[in-house]
Formats: sequence, structure tokens, C-alpha cells
Amino acid sequence: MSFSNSMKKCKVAQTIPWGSLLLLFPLSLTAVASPARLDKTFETTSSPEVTLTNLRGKLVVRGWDKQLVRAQCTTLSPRVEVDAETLPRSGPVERVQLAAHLLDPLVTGEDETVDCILEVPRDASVEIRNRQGSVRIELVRGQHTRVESTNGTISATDISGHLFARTLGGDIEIVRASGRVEAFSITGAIRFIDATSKDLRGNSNSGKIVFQGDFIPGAEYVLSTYSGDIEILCPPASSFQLTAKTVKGKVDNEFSLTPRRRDVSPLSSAHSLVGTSNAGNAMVELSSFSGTIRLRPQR
Amino acid sequence: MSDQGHERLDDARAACRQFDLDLPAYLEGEDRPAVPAHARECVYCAVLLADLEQATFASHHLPIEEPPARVWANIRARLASEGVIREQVSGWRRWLQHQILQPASAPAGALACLTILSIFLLGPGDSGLKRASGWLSPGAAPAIATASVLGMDKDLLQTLRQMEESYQALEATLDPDLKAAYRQSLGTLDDCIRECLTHCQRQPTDALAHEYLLNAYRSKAQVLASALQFDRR
Repeated sequence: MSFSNSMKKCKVAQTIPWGSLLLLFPLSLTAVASPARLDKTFETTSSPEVTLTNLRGKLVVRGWDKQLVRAQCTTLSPRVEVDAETLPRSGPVERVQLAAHLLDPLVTGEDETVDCILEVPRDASVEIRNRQGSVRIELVRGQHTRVESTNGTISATDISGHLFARTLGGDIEIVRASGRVEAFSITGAIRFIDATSKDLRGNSNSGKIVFQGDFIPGAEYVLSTYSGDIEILCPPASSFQLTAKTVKGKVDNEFSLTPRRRDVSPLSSAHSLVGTSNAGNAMVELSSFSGTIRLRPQR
Repeated sequence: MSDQGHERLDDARAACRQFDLDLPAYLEGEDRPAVPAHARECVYCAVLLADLEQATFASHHLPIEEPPARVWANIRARLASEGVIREQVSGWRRWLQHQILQPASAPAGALACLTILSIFLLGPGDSGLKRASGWLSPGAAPAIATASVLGMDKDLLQTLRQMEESYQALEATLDPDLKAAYRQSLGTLDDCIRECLTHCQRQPTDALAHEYLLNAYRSKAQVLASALQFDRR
């Protein structure tokens, strides 16, 4: 038996005032579908695993100081439903799985839309899959935070655990992340702002990558693009060891770097740059096939 | 709540957890008297048991139908992308995982990849999806034959072709926005692959270019796998 089969399955209640349906009945002859609001709260442990799978729409996920998961969703069409499964079936919930699905396979396009606001305990581990549409997640410090979208933007702010963000065509913005960070996009841009992570990786094929903030001592940063540019904006006093490589692009550096002892040929060619800024406390590895790598001090 | 109340609640939770543990075996036909006994006392578990028994009964009366090949390809791609079948695979997937999905694995993989991609992706192509689906071009069959002569794993080539076929079959059902996103991503990756190949042919010792080639190929496999996951629900 599959795991999910052992879960208690409950349908999120639709809080439609039935009286209003009577009043609106004549209108329904012309109106194909009306939005429905869904609201459900689950009592949880302090660090539950919360999963939300959506087809299309805007998702907002926030950590809060309650041991509750609250899901407020708006469906555009009555032929789309949000199911909730919880485990265990009694007592504080350890897992909450929310999933939007079509009641009618003929529903397409905007009618698939479900916009959700999800509030979760701060220590929750969160997994969000939004096929089309943006995901904004903030103030979560659980062990894992995973966000995936096909073409939506991903914005993650104040995430403390391992953050994994992946989108094909959307942009990714990660602000004040303090755990391990992995961000991948094919055509979208990736922006890291004021990260305090010890391990930060970003990869975009054609999008630009921007890293803004200081490098943390002992941390490792690996940023890579194919044709997109990479831009580093950090304080002049930043301490890091740099390895910047391109195949056909160029490296444009405004920092004063000293050659590393072990490097036979110290610095630089148009296509690569190796050196140390200040004490060299962080490792920074940048590479691009044909994009430009820029390092500029933050004024 | 009083201590006695807490104890009762804890007992109930423990009984429900035990019910969860015993339920699979009970549904498989094993003797687990605690399951129906608990279901008589707990309304939630009773509903769950009734649902599952009904589903089991109904499933026994369903006609057996062979799913389309695309379904198996989707499942395979999903399992491969999640690493679930890493230890059991052979042929193309082992090759893909060891040579493509690990960018640090090196020149031998790069060479193999280079050869395959030269054959399948540098062929005549127009734009957009046709470029992304190079293996499906009219010249694919002779290309596979050529690759086999060159010592390439024929099963691998066929399976890669199946992945592309699966994607093409699925693409028609995708939402236009989604389709555009996949086309753009695959097109971008094919541009990358083409440019890397050209560069690698000119400068075979450029390790960084080889690494980019492998990464582009890995990304393309991931994009295709993610598309195959998104079947219509």
C-alpha cells in the first residue's frame, strides 16, 4: 500500500455562503465559473513536513510562530479542487500534503488557477511545486525548503535550512538565506542578496546571476552560467579566494587581487582570473561559457 | 485536560498508529484481527478501511489494460531523475548517470557525449522544437546505425530517442504557456550544446568547454524528465 493511502484524506471545505448561491442563481446562467475560497487549519507538531502541489497560480508561504498550518486558497473554477492529506490521523499532524487537481480533465488555461496563502510553523520543512506561477516563501527555518516551478518566479526570503529552488524559465531571488542554497534556472535570472550561507550554488544557462552582499568566512560559493553574465557586488573589505573562468567570455574585475602561492601562473588572462582578496577567507568559484564575469566593490 | 484524558488520547493515537502499520498486511489478506477491531472503535479508521476495501474490491473487477508506452517512459524518467532506480539500471541509464549526470566525471564521458551529440544534434535542423528533438529527425535511423558502428550502445541510443518521442507525444497536450517554456528551455540548451560541440571540435583539450557540454546535456535530460512528469491530471 502506498504511503499516501495510509493517510487520512479530507477535502478542504469550501466556504461558500449557500444563501448567496440562491441570489446569484440567475447570474449563473451567464457566468461559467466563480471563484471559491477554501480555508483550512491543521494543528501540527513544531516541525511538520508540508507539501503543496499546484497547477497554476500564485503561492505565498510564510512561517509563523504557531504550531498550525493554515491554507487559504482561491480557485478560479469550481472544477478545480484542493485536497488535503494529513498524517497521523489524530493528534498533532506531522505531515500535511495539499494538492490542487482538476475535477474535469477539460479544464485548461486560467481556469486551472489556484492562488494560495500557506502559513506554516517556522521550523516546518516545506516542499512547493507550482507548475505555472510564482512562489514566494519567507521566514521558514525548517530542515529543507524545496521550491520548483516550470516558468514561474521564485522568491525566497529569510530561509534558514537547506534551500533548493529550481525553475525553467522564471527568475529566482533569494534574500538573506542562511542555510545551504542551491538555485537553478535555465533561462531565468538568479539574484542572491545578503546571503549568510556557508554553501551557495547557482546555475543558469542563459540568465544573469547577481550576488550582492559580503562573503562569509569559511563559506563556498559556486556560480555558473552558460551565456548569462555573472555580477558580484560586495564590500571592498570582502575576504575571498577567487577562481573565475570563462571559455569565450571575459572577466571584468575591480578588486585588488593578489596571486595565490600555489598558482604557477598567477592572475589573469582575458578568460580567467585567479587570486585572493584580503585574507581570502571564503572560496568563490565563478564560471561562464560566453558571459561576462564582473566583480565590483559595493559603494 | 486531565491526566486521564491525556492518557486516553495517547492510547487512541497509539492504536491508530498500530492500525496504520497493520493495515497493508491486512489488505494483503494476512490475519490481523486488531485492524477490524480498531475500526469498530474508531470512526476515522473505519472510514479509511471501508474506502480501501471498496477500492480493492473495485480494482479486482477492472479490466486489465496495457498502458501506452509513454506512461512507462514517464515513470522511468521520473524514477531515474529521482535516483530511485540508480542501483538497478543498466545500459543507457547507467551510462547517463555515470557520464552525464555527474559533471565532474570527465573526459571519457565528454568524448562519448560528444560523439553522440555530434551525430544526433548537429544534423540538419530548423528552429525551436525540431532542434530540441534532433534524434527524431528523418535521419535518425541511419544515425543510430552509424553510432552503432562507432561502438555506441544501441540500447542507449534507442532509449534516448524514446525519451524524445515521449516528450513529443506529451507536448501536444501541454498548456501553450507551458509548451512555450519547455520549447524555450530546450532550444536554449540545444544552442548551448551546438556551440559547445563546435568549440570542442576546434579545441578538443578545453576541459571547461567539455564540462559545459556535459552540463548542457544533463540539463536537457532533466528538462525532458520534468516535462514527462507533468502528464495531464
